[in-house]
Formats: sequence, C-alpha cells, structure tokens
Amino acid sequence: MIEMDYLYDGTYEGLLCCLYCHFLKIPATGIYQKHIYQRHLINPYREVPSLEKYSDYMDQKLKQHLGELISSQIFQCFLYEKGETENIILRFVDLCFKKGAKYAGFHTHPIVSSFDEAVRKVKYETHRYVGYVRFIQMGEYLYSSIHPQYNILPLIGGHFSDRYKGEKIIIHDVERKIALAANDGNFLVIPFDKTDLSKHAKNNFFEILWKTYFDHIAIKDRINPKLQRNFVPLKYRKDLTEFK
Amino acid sequence: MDDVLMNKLAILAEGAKYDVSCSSSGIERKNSGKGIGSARSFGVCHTWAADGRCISLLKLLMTNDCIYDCSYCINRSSNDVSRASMSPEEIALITIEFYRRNYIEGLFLSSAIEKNPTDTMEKMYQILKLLRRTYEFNGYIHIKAIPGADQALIEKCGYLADRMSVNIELPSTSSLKLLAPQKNYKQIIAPIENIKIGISRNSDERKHFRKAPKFVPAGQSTQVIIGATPDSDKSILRVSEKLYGEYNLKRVYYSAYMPVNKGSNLPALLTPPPLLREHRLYQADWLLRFYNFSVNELFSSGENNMDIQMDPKLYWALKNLNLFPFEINNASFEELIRIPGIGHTSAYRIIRERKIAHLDFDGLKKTGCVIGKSKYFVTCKGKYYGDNLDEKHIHKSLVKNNDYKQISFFG
Repeated sequence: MIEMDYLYDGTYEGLLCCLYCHFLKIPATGIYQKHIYQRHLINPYREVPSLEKYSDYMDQKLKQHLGELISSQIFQCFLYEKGETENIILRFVDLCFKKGAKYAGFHTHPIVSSFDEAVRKVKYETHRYVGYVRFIQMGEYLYSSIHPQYNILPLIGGHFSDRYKGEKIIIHDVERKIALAANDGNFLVIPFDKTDLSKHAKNNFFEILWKTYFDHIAIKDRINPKLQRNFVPLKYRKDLTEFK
Repeated sequence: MDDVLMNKLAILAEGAKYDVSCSSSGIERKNSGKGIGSARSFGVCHTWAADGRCISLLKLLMTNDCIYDCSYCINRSSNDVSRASMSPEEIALITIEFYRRNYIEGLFLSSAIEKNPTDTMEKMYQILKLLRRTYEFNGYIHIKAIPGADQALIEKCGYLADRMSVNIELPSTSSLKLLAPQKNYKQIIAPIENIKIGISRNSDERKHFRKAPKFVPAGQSTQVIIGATPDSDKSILRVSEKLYGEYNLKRVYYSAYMPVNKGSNLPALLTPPPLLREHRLYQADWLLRFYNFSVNELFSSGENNMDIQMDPKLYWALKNLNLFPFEINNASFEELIRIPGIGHTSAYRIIRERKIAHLDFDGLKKTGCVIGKSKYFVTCKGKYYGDNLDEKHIHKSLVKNNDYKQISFFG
C-alpha cells in the first residue's frame, strides 16, 4: 500500500477528516496545512476536503475509544499550533488505536510525552488567561486585547460567556487576528482584523483605583520581584492594567 | 470625592494586607442568569503583587478603626495610623466594577471593630445583601466571622458568603494572654464551632431538600501568626491538626510576623520575618492534609521544631531510613507519596505507567519527580541508584550548608 502526506485546511474538522482517511483509506506519513506545505520530491500528497460526515464520525470514534477526557486533550493539543502539532496528534492517536487506550497514560513513551507536553502547555496558558484577561469599558462593550502564545480563545470562551452573561464582551487575540465575542451565555470565535483598540482608550477611574490597590496590597518587607516574575512572566505584562 | 475614595482604598488595603488567605477555590457555581459572576472550583489568581503573593480576591477592611489593642496588630487602638471607613455601598460598587473588568475573583471582607462585634457583623451583612440581592453577584465572597457577634447574625451571613473565617492568630492561651489580653480563647473558638455545626446540619438538610440554600459552601479557614511568640512548630502544627480533624477546616494559613509595633512582649522592630520557617510550616501542613502524615510522625525524634534546612518529608525520611528503599514498581500509592521528591502527580503517573511496562531509572526521571532527592530512597527494577543509603551521606549531598562566614581581616 502506498503512503502519503495529507493536506488540510487548518481547521480541527479538517484534521479529523485526515485522521479518518488515515485509518479507513490510505495510511498517512504526515498531516500538514495546505498553505504552508512544501512539496516533496518522492512523497505523494493529497488534499483532504473538510466533510462533516467524516469529521463527526472520527470525533465520535475518538470519544468512544479514548474517552471524553483524552478526546478533549486532542483538541487542546491542536490549539498548540507550534511545529508539527498535526503529526504529534497523528502519531498519538495512531499509537492509542493500535496498542489500546491505556497507552494514553504511557507518559515515558516519546510519542505520548510530546503530546502530553503540548497539552500541558496549552492548559496552563488557558488557566492563566482566565485570570489575565483585563477588560476596558468601550461604549456598551467590554473589550480586552491579549497576546497569548497558543490559540486559547476557544478554551476560555465557555468560562467568560457564562461569567459575563449580561455583558457584551470582546476578547481580541491581536496577533492571530481573531476575537471571541460573547453575549447572553453564547460565544463565537470570529476573524477580527483590527489594531489593538485598548491603545486609544482613556483612563477610567476604576483602572486608576485598581492600580492604587495593587500598589498598596504588597507588604514592603517581603518585596520579591523574582517570585512575582515566576507567576507573571514579563511577556504577559503588556496587557495587564496594573503593570502598564 | 474620587480622591477621597482612592485614599480610603489605600488605607484599608494597607490594613488588610497582613491577612494571608486569598483562595477562591472550593466552590463551583454557574451564573444565575440575572446578574454577573460565577465561581470556579479550582480558584483563579488574577495577578501577583510585588511581594509575590497572589491577588485573587479584593482584600479589604470595612474600617481600620478598632476598639481592641492587640499588640501584634498594625491597627491597634493605641497606634497612630490614619483611620478610614467605607460605606457598604462604596465597597459593593468597587467590588462589582473591579469584577466586571476581570481584576478579581470576588471579595474578601474583614474589619476592625469600631463599636462592638455585633455592629460590625451587621454592616458586613448589609454588604453581603447588597452584593447578592441587589447586584445579583455570583462571584466568590469570603468574610470574617467576628468573635463575640450575635450568633443568629453570623448564621445569616453564612447563607450569603462562600467562605467564613475566624483568625486564631496565636496558637496558645498563654500567648493570647501576653499579646491580646482583651480576647480569650473560648470567644475565638465559639464561632468556629458554630460554623462547623451549621455546615454539617446544612449538608444533612441538602440530602433531603436538594434546593436548600447552601451554608458556607467553601468551608472555613483560619490564620496563625508565626514568630511573634515562642510557640514551637510542634505546638502550632498540633493546633492545625486539631482544627483539620475536629473542626473540618479547609485551610490553616501561617503568617510570618512582621514587626509592625514596639512592645516588651514582641520581637524587636528590626527582626526579619521568619519566612523560611513559614514555608516549612506550609510544607508540613500539606503533609498533614494530603500525605496522611500525623504530627507525631513528623516529630518522632522528640524535637519540638523542624530542621529549617530541609523539607519536612526529607527530614522524616532521614529519621526513618529503615523503611527505605521502596521498589518503585510495586510500592502502593500511599508508600509512593511518602518518598521525598515524589508527589501526587508523579505518583499517579508512576502507577499508570506500571500498568504498561516496568519503570526503570530513566523512566522514573521522565515522570517529573525530583530525581535528585528520590533516587536515595527507591530501587528501580531492584537496582539502587543513590550511591549510599546512609543518613549522614544523604544529608551532606542534599542539604546546602549556608553557615559560612566572612573571615575577619584582623584575625
């Protein structure tokens, strides 16, 4: 049987369709995004269209064989978006389907450990951003701009849409040019090609009040910038009101 | 008006900062649909102040004007500090506006006693009512139960707050007499006892009536000052053990004493706060709560204080070397978590891995345990990788010796 590289459109559904083709049609040597794929002299390749029936089927099989937890981890790993994320997922799912679901806990296996590492990083940043998002009032909207390392917007959507049910909120991932818009308990991740809107905002009284509070709550005899840096690394500070 | 409010906030935050508790965990609640907010069981920290302590809740005193004169406290009545009070409306407004901007996870309200305990509790109840009923606020609220306040009032507050706490501050009656002669132990322990009874009664009620309102759903906590009095680690941890065991407390916080006042019964003003000791006490506290250790085990060698140079688990292991080494491939979970360098996460990983393949030393490294420590106490597939299972040797290789001195120029 020939093996080949699969190309997909960059969506999670597209990736699931590639996995479907890998298991039910021709085994894949690798999965790549269409627009960044470099053609290889020998490897044959094929573009896989995103079809709902394939992706739904694959999603259901993942949940059935690996469980809810691990299938949600696969989605988290997908949001890692660094290096060969697709191939990390491909090898991991392949290993678990062939050797059994218990291999998902085989942390010392190189395939599993690279998968776990990606998941861990995405989860950690997701948790951080639940705390790090800072809203500013802009008309009737609450607007926030963030610069996360991984594409965490889909993961924090549920939390923020529930917490701010009565508000209209926009969380803007400036570098990825997408935004999370939420209102009335529902949320959408939409393309949002604008500059960072927070730069034009005027200083609000409660922002100054917050900075005052932030300065006074620290105990002067225990000042410890290194410890503070461990918890709030410098790269996150540009979006935080209290460090501006 | 704005400047006045800002000044008041600064003074009241200054007064509240010595309270350690900041956790917002232990309760999962969705937005009710009418107002703002939710609570997450894992707790969320929003930022970290310059001292490296997290800010999760808006920590605030209602007032710092106090009738008591406890000698360890910055707000004691005989101190000359600026005094301020905030009205319930102001506190509720600041909480909501901070919360809307995702600065905080909720409110931690404490207070000095301006007139009498019941009056203070009554004002706290007003803030709770404003937040929960008027603003329909679903976020986290932690309030202090004021010892000596009307019992019925404390109970009413318990139905609106998530966590309540009473600070013990001083771990023994003799220390209390020395530093806070206006207070007595019975008066402090009474609200803790009552809240405990309330919580257990409430959990019975909720078995029969699923929709019965929750009473202090995130449990209660307390705080003990370290280093202001000569109390030993053992006696402090005994108090904690009792509070966890008999009163079902969620947390006991330890606060290294900052010398803020002069006093014949207090450490001198320039004494550095015992930060390392505080850290070791937290570590021991974790061993009590999550690692099935008892105070007797930790102090089995007859000492009253821990060795400050190493963590309490390593200290215990060195005193009980006859139990080691454990074989990593067949030790139970309870045994695994007793090994220095292995915690819950790595113990779970080791157990999951063992189901698939035997773990060797390289595998153990990848589980995320502190290999430099744990290698002395385990065997992997029967082989021992630490070079010598000997107390002196392990002590020498794991504990950094910090008592070097500069040689004097003049001999």
